[in-house]
Amino acid sequence: MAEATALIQQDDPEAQEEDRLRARIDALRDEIALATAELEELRAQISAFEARFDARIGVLIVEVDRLSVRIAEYEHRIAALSEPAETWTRVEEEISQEYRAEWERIEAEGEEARQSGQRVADLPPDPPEDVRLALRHLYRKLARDYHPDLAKTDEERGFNETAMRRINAAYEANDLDALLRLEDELPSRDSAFPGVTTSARISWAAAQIGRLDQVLAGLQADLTRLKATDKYRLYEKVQADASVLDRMESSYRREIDAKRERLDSLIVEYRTAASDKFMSTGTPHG
Amino acid sequence: MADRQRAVVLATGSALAERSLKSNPRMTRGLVRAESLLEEQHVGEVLRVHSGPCLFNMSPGKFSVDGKYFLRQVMRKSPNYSADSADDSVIGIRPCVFQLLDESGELLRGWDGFPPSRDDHPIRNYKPFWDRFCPIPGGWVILTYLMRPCDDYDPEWDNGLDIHALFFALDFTEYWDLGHISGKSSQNLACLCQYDDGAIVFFENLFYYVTQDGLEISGWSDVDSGAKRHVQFGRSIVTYEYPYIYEYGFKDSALQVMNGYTMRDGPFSLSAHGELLIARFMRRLAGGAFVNRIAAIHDGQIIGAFTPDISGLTPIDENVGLSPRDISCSDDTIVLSVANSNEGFVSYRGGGRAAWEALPALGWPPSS
Repeated sequence: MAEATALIQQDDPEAQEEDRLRARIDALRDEIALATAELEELRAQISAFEARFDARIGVLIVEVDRLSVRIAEYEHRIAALSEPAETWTRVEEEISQEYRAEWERIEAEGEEARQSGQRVADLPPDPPEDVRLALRHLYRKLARDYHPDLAKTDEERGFNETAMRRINAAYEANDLDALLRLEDELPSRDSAFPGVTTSARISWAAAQIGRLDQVLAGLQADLTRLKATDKYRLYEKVQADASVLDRMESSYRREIDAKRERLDSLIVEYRTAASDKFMSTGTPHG
Repeated sequence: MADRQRAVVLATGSALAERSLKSNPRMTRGLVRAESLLEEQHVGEVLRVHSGPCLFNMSPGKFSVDGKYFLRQVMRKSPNYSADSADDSVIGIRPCVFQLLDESGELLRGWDGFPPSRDDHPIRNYKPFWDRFCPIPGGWVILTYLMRPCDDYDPEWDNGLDIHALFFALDFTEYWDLGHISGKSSQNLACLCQYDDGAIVFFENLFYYVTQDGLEISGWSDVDSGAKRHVQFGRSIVTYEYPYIYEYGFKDSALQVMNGYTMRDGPFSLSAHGELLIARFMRRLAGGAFVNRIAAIHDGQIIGAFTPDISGLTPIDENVGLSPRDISCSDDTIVLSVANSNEGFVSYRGGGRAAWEALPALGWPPSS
């Protein structure tokens, strides 16, 4: 009896490789979407924290600096009163030169703090937890499809950059409706690899994986870099203990009160000493 | 690739990505302030500021072994000053007077003369050393001295020194003379620290052990006897001799150097838990400001630190700033004396060992 002959399906090694690469690209797209969402969320949180910090604490720090320079100026004036008249009459000019750079820095910081603090009014309200989770889920889904670095062609990349700007704007504004509208509006993406032959698709996929690996590494480096900033470190401390901001405010207000007191006493001291000097020398103050 | 990626991030992430990386000097300064506030929170709170000018080398005082009394020396302003007065505004320059306070800092009594109320005693002309007193169980040991040319007086040295150790009951209602030491130089100042049931006196390269039973030689040291302070550290004695701190242990029946710490600056004292050494040192912050810090050290390693809040004190000279000069501890209170201030002493209610141990989790000591 002759042995029966059966047809046994042999998997095409190239097709297997294409499937493997497809799975790898899918996994990378998920990771990139996750990292993008995490980075974007953290940036938005830090930005909001910075605005609130400047509105509440930053302006106090600038006030501390202003008072410190004014104290230094009056100390300079008082010290100059004991100098000969020709030196003493030049004191205002000296003070102007010596503290000009410091005043410019303080005024620039004051303006920065003011502008930064004004953003508080534009910050979106914190969403409820369920909305926040839905925002994060939807953002991750959209980033997976429309992140510019996931585009297959230059044309698609251009489209994605515009789409991603709109997605980011909606996410930063905690606008779930806008994200849902974008999900409906934006075209669905074809997951097929470009290329006519299997080997061409494999070649494209291998290159794409290398590129996506770099994109992911770049996002992770951005996240690490962001977490190394003083802004993030301060944000992290306040997240761990919200009362830190209260104590910082009290601490700076105490410092401001002490400096105002010191400045007031220096002004009185200067006026008295200057008046005595005018009386004795008859020299008008320059 | 990196440049292209950055361009894409900026294009899609808009101003947010850029803003999140741009430095904000106010937040950098806020971070430094927040770190200080967080560290303090885990250690304690300011209990009170004790009035009394604090001069260079002056002790903030010491708690009794049971932690219920606090003995300090202050300088009086005028001969009219009454040591029993709670009005600290009259406390001034000299001479020193002793004051006994309760654990909350309230004045119980003070003494202008010394020893108190025993004018017929043969050592009535002796003067108490600044800072040379320490608690032992049941009371205090106080060193008194008389300057005189000693038997082998050497003009290369300054006056000879005659020292008596006195034991006082906790409330100073009674006292007795424990013994006598003579030496050549007031530069070789005797120092005191609590040790077991007694106190260690270090004078001219010799250690003496003082208990209520008397005073005896217990060891010797090669360390220059100009060393400023000693404390017990486990079963060792720790000595500060600028700029080093030495740890002594008993070896061959003598106290000898076991370890040397290259930590500059004192002062130091024991925490309430015995094995911890607390010291003051300086750290330069961003922006150039110096901040005084108190650190707990165990086995030669800093295990925790905090910045004392001395912002309530008024510096005599703002250009110099305030600087803790000395430190003393009871079970849960740390007392600092602060130089360049008219207010002088600051108490902290400490959080105990758990507080110190929590500090490494807060990033202390810093890696740099």
